[in-house]
Amino acid sequence: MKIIPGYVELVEILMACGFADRKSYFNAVSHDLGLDFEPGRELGEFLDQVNSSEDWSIRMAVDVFSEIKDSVIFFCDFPDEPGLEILLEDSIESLARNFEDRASCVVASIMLNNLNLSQEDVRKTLQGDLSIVSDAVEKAEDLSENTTWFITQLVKFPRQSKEILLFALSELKKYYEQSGLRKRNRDKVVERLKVFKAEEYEEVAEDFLEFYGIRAREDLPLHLLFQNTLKYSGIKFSSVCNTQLIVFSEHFKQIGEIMNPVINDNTLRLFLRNLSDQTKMQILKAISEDSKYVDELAKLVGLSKATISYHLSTLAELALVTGRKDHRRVYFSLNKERLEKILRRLETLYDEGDS
Amino acid sequence: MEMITGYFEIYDLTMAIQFSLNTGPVEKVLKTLGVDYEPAAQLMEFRELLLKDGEWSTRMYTTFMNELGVMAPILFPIRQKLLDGMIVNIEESLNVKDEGLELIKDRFIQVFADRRLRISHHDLKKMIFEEPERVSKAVEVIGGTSADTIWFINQLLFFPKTAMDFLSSNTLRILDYYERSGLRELNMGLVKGYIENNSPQKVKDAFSNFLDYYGITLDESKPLYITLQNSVPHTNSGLMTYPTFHLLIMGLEEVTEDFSGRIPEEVRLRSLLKVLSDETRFKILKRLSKEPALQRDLVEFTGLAKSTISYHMGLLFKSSLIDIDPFSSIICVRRETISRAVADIRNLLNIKEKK
Repeated sequence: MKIIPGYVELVEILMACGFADRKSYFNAVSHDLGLDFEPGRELGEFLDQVNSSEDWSIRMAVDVFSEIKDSVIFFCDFPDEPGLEILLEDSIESLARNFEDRASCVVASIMLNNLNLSQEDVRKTLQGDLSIVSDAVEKAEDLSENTTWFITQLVKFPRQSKEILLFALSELKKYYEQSGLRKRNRDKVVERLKVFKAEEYEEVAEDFLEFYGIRAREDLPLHLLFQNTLKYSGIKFSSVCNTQLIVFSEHFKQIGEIMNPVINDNTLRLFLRNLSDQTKMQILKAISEDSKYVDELAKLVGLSKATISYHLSTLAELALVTGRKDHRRVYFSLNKERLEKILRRLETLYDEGDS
Repeated sequence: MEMITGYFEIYDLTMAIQFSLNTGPVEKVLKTLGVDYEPAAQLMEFRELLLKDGEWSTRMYTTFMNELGVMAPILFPIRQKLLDGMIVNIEESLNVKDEGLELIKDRFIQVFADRRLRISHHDLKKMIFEEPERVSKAVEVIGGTSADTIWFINQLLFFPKTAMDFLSSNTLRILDYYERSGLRELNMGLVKGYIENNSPQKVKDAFSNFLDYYGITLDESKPLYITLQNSVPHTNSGLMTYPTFHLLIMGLEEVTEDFSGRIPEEVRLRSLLKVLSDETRFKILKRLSKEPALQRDLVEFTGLAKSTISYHMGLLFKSSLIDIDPFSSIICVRRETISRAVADIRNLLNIKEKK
């Protein structure tokens, strides 16, 4: 598999919007993962502008970008060669030119990755059968109205969707510039590209895939996109239309710490902290014998699907659970190998001196 | 094993004094462990009377009762042949005759030589006669004791009669606060009522749940005394082992509520993990795993306030993660608690240990 590290400026806006809408979620995950993420002044400014905007298309875009960012990211095009970047203006222009192709990939990704529908469903939908998406969207409890509306529009009225989306992007681009976030991120990227070494990223990507048990396709290139907006890995893995990608943070240190095969004190402590949470313990216990999907877990534990998903996402970041897609569902199971490693570390904690 | 339950009122007063001098940490420990605790109005009244008393002798008395609290059973020994359900009030404990005095001094020397000075008690006795200077010096370098306590130890070793007079007269003065605040009546009423209306077996059952919770195994050749207290009803003294007996001062509500049933493994594990996953406590435990230390050393090591350390110690002790030697105040880690936690996690999550 060829790994192509690169930079797409538009991804930063996706990340920033995600944070705008789900700030408390990010805060909770950061807490569980022991990352102390403080949005900088520029991101704060960007959020203020977004939140004070009266324009409904901005609100809609923010909801959509944050809820299904692993799908809307396919509106972007990606660098063909390692170490290249695609500027915001170029992304927007190319989206305007190739909107229909991109939109069909985004629709496919939404169906596969967000609604857990099948390839067959995608094929039918793209041939004009709109009922599948309408049905699925209605049942998707964890999507906001804005997002379900957007999905429906994208399928039914691609031309109008294009105009709305391009307008929203041009507005968001303004905020991105005026807040200083663009300059701040650009400065870092310029620095980064100066010392760019493709091999380093290849190694990180391979560790990443292995650690999280992601099976990427060997015959396709893997885009490794970095982002500076959030001190937190962006998109673990997403694929559609023969494109596969990972978005990760430049501040890779803490995730790297968690990924380290040698379990350090901090990772051990995070594990203990997460396990001491009643809901997380219940989830882990529930999946310790057979794998289960979110609906089952929600019923078993007696909490909403959104809450279960949130806890699963933290547990997945710590690689304590792994997800496997089967037909229309994602089945979660306990990563016993990793747990065993952590437990062995805990046992020897007191046997040694400093480390 | 011989197990005797009863009420030694003097220990209830000792608990009230300890609470008064450590109110913040004690309340915080209970809160962190999720115990719904509101100190009785009478206890708060007692505390106010005690803290308002500016006499030097009260200060000295309360200081060493706090620091040497666990020595109280030696200073106020159990002299009667104990029977289940026996109630011994403070006045009876204070009524020390000359032969009793010798006995107290002897026992004190024995425990003190062995556990604090780490020399044989014959040597200490000889030293008291031949080289009193050396004894005083040795007392002074004991860790974790204040000047007031050192003064009292010296009195007890060289002028036992004066020391016991001092002890009795001050106890009587504090007994006055105990009475005036209404705490004595409250405690006596509740404990007496409990003992009269319940079988001693209930206390013994609570004790076995206590042992199970803390994962303690006892040397069964010595008798065990369980005496109740109601000043801080949700707390206990920790199990104390003396040369000829074990003693546990147990809160009344621990018997009727906290330990009235077996604590589910999961609940115990969860609270243990919560205690363990705190950054400061994690660091303290690592430090202690290298070598046992005094509270004073930990204050220095962490740079935290004494009351903060005392809170952490309280939690660690209540979770059975550390042992505090009642005689030397030396704190060390309990490795078996961790091993047990690891086994519990494996059991809970169906993980088979790989050799």
